[in-house]
Amino acid sequence: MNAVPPLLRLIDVTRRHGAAHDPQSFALGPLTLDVLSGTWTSIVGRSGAGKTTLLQIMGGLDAPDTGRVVIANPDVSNGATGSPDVVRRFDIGFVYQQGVFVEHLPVWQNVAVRLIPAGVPARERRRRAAAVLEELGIGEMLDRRPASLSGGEQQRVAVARAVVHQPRIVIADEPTSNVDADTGSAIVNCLKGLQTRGSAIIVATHDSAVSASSDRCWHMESGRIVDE
Amino acid sequence: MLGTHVNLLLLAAENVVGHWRAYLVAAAGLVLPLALLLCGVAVSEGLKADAVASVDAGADLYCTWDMFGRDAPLPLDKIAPLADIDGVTRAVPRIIGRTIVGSAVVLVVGVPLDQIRRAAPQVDGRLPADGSEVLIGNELARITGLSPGKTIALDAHSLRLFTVVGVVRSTSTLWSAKAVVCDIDEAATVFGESGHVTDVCLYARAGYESLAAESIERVDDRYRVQTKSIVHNYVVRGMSIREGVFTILFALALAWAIPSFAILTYMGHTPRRREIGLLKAEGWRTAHVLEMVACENVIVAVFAAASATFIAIVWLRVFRAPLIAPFFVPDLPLFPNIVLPARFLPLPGLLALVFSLVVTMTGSIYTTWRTSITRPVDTLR
Repeated sequence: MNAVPPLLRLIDVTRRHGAAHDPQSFALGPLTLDVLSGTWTSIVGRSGAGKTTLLQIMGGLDAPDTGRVVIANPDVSNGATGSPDVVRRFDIGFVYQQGVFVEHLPVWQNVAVRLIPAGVPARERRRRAAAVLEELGIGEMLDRRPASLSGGEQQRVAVARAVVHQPRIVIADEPTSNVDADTGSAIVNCLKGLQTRGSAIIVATHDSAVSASSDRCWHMESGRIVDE
Repeated sequence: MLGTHVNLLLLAAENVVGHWRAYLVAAAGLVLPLALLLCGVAVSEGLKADAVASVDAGADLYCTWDMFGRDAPLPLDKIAPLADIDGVTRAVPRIIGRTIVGSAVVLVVGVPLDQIRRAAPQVDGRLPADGSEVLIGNELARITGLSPGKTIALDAHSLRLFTVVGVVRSTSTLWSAKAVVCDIDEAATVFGESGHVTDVCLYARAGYESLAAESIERVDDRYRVQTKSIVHNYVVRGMSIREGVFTILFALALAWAIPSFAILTYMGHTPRRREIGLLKAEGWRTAHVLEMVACENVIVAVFAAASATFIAIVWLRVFRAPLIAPFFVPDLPLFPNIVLPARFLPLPGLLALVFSLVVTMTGSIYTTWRTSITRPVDTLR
């Protein structure tokens, strides 16, 4: 009997894009997975293997066709025991594969955007954003617009946004792709820091250095985990 | 709890500034019809107030003659019995007709000279001392170049020359802006109708108006009497109907603004869609997104209503309500050359705000809601 219950559990999850008879269609799963608190899980595999789809389902951005996703207790797949919005706001931080920002807002607003509906005053939001950005080495870019940042800087802002609320789960989709070694190192260190405080880190990556430092590594092919 | 609403309001303000191009174009589409609507309503209210004031300051009863079941001029010998009716304090006969001076159609108002002096209108110049002297309206003076000391010719049935001694100054006499006020006997000569007057204005002791009207009709049932309240109602109803038609036309115009607003601000606007998708992915509830967009709409609506009010005032005071004024005063050209009476009341301003809110809310809330309930993975794609 496992003494520590899983923080995130996928139970018989499947997801299909496109019609079953379409040769271009893609099917994920069925997958049954557990993720524990304070662990680093890497997901590796070729492009199109299903890493992003799996992360999106784990993060509640997408819903499985069948099966269930359980985070602690709330069920993000059908909202029966907790709203996916609430789970996303409090429990999950998501680093997107490509930079997605509210372009007209400054960096600090983008980083702390999830704190707005929580009623956190602007000064406090700015302070928290500044602390995370400082940790990631771009503390001086608080008031810049995202479009004026380099790709690496944008990626760090995306990571800052995912961790600003100290989530229990951080899901990152290739966070170190297209960034230099220093930026990649800063991102990994930031996530490691969160892991040591008990968060579960789940990273899809092609970066062998990142996957090498993980507690677990899932190898995906054609929507299934073929090796662990 | 309050902090959430404050945050959403402030973010909405930042969004409006951030998307200022789209919102400016959308607001402009809203401001233009609203400004014209407010301008029209202000002109209508001004004219109505003017007319009502004129009626209220006028006679208590208006008496004409019944001929073939219609209003007709009153024979002169029928005037004297009116002055003897119990409760009537004064009977003032009038001749009102139209003629042409230069290229302008003017209203000729003939009343006894002593009544002109008694009414004491504000004039540049002086009041007529005898039948050879007349007052003219300020618009007539402007378009013909007439001024005190100059001669004016009135030619209807017979040609008569008069000396202008005063120009009526008051802006509340729009109706007589192109009028000539002269002695009633001279007016009778000009129109060749020495045996009739157009009507008789009767002034009654307070509370005797209805009794006097009944008494007049008992003297001769061919007298046709209208009380002040009846005239008042005619004036108000006539103006209100015109104003109502005007408002309906603009309500239809504003209805067209709804899809325009939706297209300009939300529908098919990919960055906006992605923004909403991102907020949802970051844990915002649909209610939060809707509240933020509603705040944006309120900001835009208040801006549009305030701008429309400002433009309406400028349109009216500076440009003299071109395009709008002829709808309410048919004699006026498309670009009027007189300042119209106008009243900006709070209610039309509030109406403009409500119109703006309806347009912005209708044009955005549904599309926002649709985007909000879509899976973030689809909106972020």
